[in-house]
Amino acid sequence: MRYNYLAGLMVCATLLILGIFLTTNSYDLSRDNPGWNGSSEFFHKPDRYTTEMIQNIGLLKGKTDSAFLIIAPTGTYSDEEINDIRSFLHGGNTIILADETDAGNSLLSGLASSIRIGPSYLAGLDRAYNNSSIIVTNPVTDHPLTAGVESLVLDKAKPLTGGQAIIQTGIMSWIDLNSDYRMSSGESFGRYTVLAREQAGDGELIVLSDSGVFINSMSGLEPEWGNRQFITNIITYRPKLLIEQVHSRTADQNRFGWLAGMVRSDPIIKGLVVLIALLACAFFLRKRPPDLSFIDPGPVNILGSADKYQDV
Amino acid sequence: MVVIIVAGLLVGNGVTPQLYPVGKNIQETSYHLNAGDLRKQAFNSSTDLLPLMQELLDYSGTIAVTLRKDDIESASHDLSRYASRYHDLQNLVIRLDMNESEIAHFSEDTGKQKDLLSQFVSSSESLKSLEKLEIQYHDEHDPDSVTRVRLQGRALKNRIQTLQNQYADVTDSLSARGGSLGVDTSPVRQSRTELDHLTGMVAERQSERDRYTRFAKAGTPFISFLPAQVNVTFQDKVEMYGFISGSQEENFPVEISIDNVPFLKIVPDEIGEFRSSFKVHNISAGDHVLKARWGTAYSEPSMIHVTPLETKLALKVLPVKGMAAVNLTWLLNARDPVPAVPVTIYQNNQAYDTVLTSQAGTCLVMVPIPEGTFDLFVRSEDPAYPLTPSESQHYTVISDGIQITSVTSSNTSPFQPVMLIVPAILLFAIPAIYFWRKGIVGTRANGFLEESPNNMESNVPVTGQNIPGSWDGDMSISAEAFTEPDGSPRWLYLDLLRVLSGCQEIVISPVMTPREISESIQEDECRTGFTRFINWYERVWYGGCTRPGCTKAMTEAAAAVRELCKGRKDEI
Repeated sequence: MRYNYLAGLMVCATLLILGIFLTTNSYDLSRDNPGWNGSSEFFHKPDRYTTEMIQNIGLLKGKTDSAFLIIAPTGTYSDEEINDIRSFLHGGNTIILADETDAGNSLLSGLASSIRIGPSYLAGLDRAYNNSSIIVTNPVTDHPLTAGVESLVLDKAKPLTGGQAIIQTGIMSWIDLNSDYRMSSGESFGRYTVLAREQAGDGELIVLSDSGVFINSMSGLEPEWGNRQFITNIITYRPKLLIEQVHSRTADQNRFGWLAGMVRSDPIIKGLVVLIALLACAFFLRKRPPDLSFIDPGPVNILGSADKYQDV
Repeated sequence: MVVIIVAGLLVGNGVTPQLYPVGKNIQETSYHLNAGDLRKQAFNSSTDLLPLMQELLDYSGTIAVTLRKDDIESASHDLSRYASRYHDLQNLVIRLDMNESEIAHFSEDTGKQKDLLSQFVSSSESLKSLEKLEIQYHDEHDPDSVTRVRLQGRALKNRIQTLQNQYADVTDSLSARGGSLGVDTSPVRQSRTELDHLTGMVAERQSERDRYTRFAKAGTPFISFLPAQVNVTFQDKVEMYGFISGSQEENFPVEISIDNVPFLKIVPDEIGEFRSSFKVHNISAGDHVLKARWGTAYSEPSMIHVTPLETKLALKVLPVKGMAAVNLTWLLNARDPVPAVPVTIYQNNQAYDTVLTSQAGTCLVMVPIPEGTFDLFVRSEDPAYPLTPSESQHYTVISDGIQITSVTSSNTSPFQPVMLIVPAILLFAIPAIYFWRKGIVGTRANGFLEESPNNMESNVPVTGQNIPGSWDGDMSISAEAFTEPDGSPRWLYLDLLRVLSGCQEIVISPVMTPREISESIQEDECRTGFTRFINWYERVWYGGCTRPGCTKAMTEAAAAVRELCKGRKDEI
């Protein structure tokens, strides 16, 4: 009997681990990735009542007093999507773009913004750890996003041009053109913008040149850096937070992750799954008559006196 | 088992490895580095700091300053920090974060121009030592493009002169016009005076700095040099870093010498940095002077201390079949196998030959042996290497001139039987004592049963050792029966076993299960009764039934077994 319990426990543990294994992944920045390069920890932070995952850009229509967070977009936005985002922006909302790739530039270009993300990574002597790509940056302009933030550590950020600078690198920074993490010929020290803002109609466009502030390994930074406060400021910047889940790499997931996401998001499917699980549990845990066959070895004619205890 | 393996694999897959290969100890994707890995690294170790310090001390590359139209103070602050940290500012990039129309407005704003010129003056020795000026700005209609205007050499000086003249003209013009119109032009004149004053002050400060700073004159060749490890031993790696500055007629490589003997040439990179390393090999033990030379410039000497490393030399001599010769193989070890070090072969204390070890620290040499008896060994003792002298064991080789008749090692000791006997005794004695203590061997249960007081209570006649094939076995069980309280389930079971062994002529092994014992009973009635007893016994003994009824049924079943199984003995 004890072995049965043990085997059942192991099966449950295996199923649990299997479930975790199948519903997580190792995709860069994915919300289902609990590893260092995933963004699972960030996605646990927003308030579920004020945060909405935007699975379709068309859902932005009619939204007010909201911040639309776009982390590391991939591919290109269609003209219709660009128009929806532009309308959202000019309607008095905020767009916060965190990206270091050309996809971000493509979106900025579509929104007629003057802000651009540079092609090469930044490096600096003001670094948080033993790598010049993990640079320490500082606010240069008062802005609600930098409230309580004295410094922000970035993980392979790129320089921004245009817009109003909110956070810049230290002066001992350079654009690492040859990606050797060192000052080389043709590279020059200078102060570079990593967070910039721009007014667009009644709305505000904010661009951060590094999506790395949202990855799990950066959430474990020491409190002396203001990353946690900065993330909190982003989440609470506007009453409502909308997180892009159409083109963003945070939405990348494997098939099982997609399945799990679908189950989580649809109440009917969720109810069905719970029902099936309960039925399965009931089937396996149903009361069965005990197997007493080993007690009865067959008729014994000699010891009639013991037979009366047969059914004890 | 499958579940365990699957669970193990899944857990293993999900757990982040704690150890990474040395060559790639920081996880990295196309976009990010793992800050968690970096946190585990020691920050600012000497290896990391050295090049960083060199960069800070010797940097004379380009400085970029971003000028925003409303933030001249920030640029001014940056430039003053550069000026306080660096000794030589040859190239300056003014990055105008404005578009062309803003630049046009800017050019019309004499106040801001004055500020801009102040930046030039305060940071670049009145612009005289500035070799290159680059101005970058964005096209108004294409924010993606950056227009660069580079000014160098004579063109730069002309441009600076033009700027200064323009500023002077503007201020003179403003003063003149303001004066003619009765406007107070003192602020304009004041700004001009301030600029001149600032120019003179910075130039004076720069000349002061020149006196104390050897880097100040860009033309004077200079070389800095620093080895990373100064206390080393054989095969240790010495890292070397350095920078060159200034100019020379030719592009000399950097020459590294040890005790004034050049041994390495390094070509500096484009910004004058050089770095290399070497392994300590044929450098004698003791102190040595390392120095770098770049053309006519010599670095400060750096000392390294080389400590000798202890070595061991293992030799093996084997006769060559059909020849009067032996093969010598040896391995020279000093922490690791020692490559490319001379080892001398000695024959009757006379040096026969010297051979270098291979990369694996080994060597194979065939030595012809004439008729007679010879003492062979090898020795490593070259003082040019930081290794302690070492000598192998000696071999006595006897040759009859045609073939080798005997090879004897000096290390070969006569056979020591004790070396074999003691472990053998221990090997057999320990299990023997163990089994003896457990009672598995050496005791017959019947002997005990004869002495058992329980025996007297049994109705079964004690036949003991006289019954062939009877229970000959388990002292522990017998002893257990002795300790069990009368009438307990275990006592009943053991008592029945004794009955069975005595009456049914079955051999009961200590490892037999009750079911196996039951199956070995030949008489059907006895077997059936014993099986019934076992059913009750197992339920009571293992806690399946704690009711008195079960115990009673078991007792009755035991009594029935005694009754049913004594028949065979009676027949006998």
